Amino acid sequence: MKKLALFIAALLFSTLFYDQSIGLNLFLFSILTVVILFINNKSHFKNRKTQIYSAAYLITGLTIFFHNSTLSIIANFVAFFTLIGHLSETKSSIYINWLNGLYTTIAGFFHRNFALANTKSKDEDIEEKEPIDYLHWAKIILIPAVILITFIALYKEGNPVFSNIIDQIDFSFVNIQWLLVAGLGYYLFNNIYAPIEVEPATELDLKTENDLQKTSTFSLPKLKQENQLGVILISLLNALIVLYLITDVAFITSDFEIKASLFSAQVHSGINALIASIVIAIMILLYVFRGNLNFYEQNKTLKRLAYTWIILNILLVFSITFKNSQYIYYFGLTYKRIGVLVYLILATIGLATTLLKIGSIKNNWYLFRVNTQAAFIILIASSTVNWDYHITNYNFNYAKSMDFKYLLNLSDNNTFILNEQLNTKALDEEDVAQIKSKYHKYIYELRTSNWQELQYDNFKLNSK
Amino acid sequence: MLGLILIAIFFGVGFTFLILRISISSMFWFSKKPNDKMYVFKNQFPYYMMVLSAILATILIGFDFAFVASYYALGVYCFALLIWNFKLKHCKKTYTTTTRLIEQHHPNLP
Repeated sequence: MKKLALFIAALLFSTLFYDQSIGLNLFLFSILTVVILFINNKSHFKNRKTQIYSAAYLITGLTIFFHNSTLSIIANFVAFFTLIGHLSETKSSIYINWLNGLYTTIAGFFHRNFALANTKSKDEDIEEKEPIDYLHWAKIILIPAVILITFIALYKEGNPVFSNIIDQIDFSFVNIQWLLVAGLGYYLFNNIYAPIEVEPATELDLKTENDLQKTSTFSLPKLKQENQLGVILISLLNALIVLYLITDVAFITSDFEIKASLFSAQVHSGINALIASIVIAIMILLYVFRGNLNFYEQNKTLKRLAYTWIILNILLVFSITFKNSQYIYYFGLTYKRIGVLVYLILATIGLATTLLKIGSIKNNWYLFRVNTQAAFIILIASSTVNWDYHITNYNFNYAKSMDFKYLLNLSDNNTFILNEQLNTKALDEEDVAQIKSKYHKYIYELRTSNWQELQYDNFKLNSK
Repeated sequence: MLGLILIAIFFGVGFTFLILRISISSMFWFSKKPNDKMYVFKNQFPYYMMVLSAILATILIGFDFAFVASYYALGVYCFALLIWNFKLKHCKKTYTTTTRLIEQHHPNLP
């Protein structure tokens, strides 16, 4: 049953991907993968987390069908590795899932084969398997084949009817490339159907807890000194950030005319520095609360100062968000500006989890685990958005100014909305020509695509 | 011209094989327990294959999934697995491990 399922999956793999570009096929492949994994790991699919990862994987597949973007393809790959890695060990962290998923995809079949052979050779009760006689197999295939071909050649000379039948046999329909892709598909499904794990890394991850433990080097005089240093350092940093935020508010609420012209320079030079400051802030807190200071009874002031600093840093994030959104309003949306917003979300999550880490005495692994999980969720969520469409829509309808060339160089996902602008907006002749060229090229691509390459835009085109 | 191409292919394949053979052997040489094949397999093989796959993926992307690059990547991958298979299942060679001998302080004691 398993072999048959893998064989069918391999044939479907080749049908979906041989000589095709990405479209509906990746979504169908996602469904096929989930089916194969379900057939072979039914018990794991009762787990809620497995169901969520499967859903995330299917959603990313579906987003590729709706808007074929690089981000959704990357998200689909990451979700694929996450799901497979999770099936190999359901209790491991998400980054170990990625490692296990990648390893299973690359060498699952080889790993299982060698590990099985090794356990069998150790087990004395099991009889040793008879070695395969390759020479014998070569003989029983090659010798009859050579003799058969010789006789066919001889009989062809003796009978014209027989000769005609032989000449009519045509093997040109056999496509070697197609078969190779099917072989590759078979190997891929053979690798993933029973996920394996990178044992040392997984074992280490399972052993590593989230809670911080008091170490044997607990020394009160040393901790007192560390506490004093921490209090002075974080107090000064708090004072500094308060001063910065006051000046920042003063700048933001200052004259609007000056602001618009300054935003470009401010955003470009300022945001990078502020981003770095937030990362360094988290690193300082991690260093201060790295060990026994968490268990020092008189650390309450230090903790309060740390919480204040985290909250002030979150306010700093809001200030950057405001500047970035003003910049977007004046100069339009771009991927870089969206990237800054995504980074700010991640930074806020990072600061919040650092607060939780200090509050409930967790170790750095906890922080790493929670934040990678958050990054994964944001990746999946952001892959569901058709960014090219929204960038174009915002820049045409809401932004004060925009870079038309930038919009034109985006992927085909904004082609329809660009074409719609021809009717509503007054554009230069050159711009109109470029939009028309992009539109007609895309329409041609959609009309000539195979069913494997279908996208949602194909249906939009048919409904028009 | 054909001769030159054949020589280039011969050297290319030979060089790749040499690199693979040496890199896989070095996994055993630098392992803590080079004679424990299961240990090397569990601790070195996964990372070796992941790094190799990353390099091959980079080559494939660099050459824009060209026909020759695809076959080369596939060939290198299969070669690597075959060499690992040989080293783990069939190779009888044992490695000498350098263990520090502790000098006896009182060699003449009964």
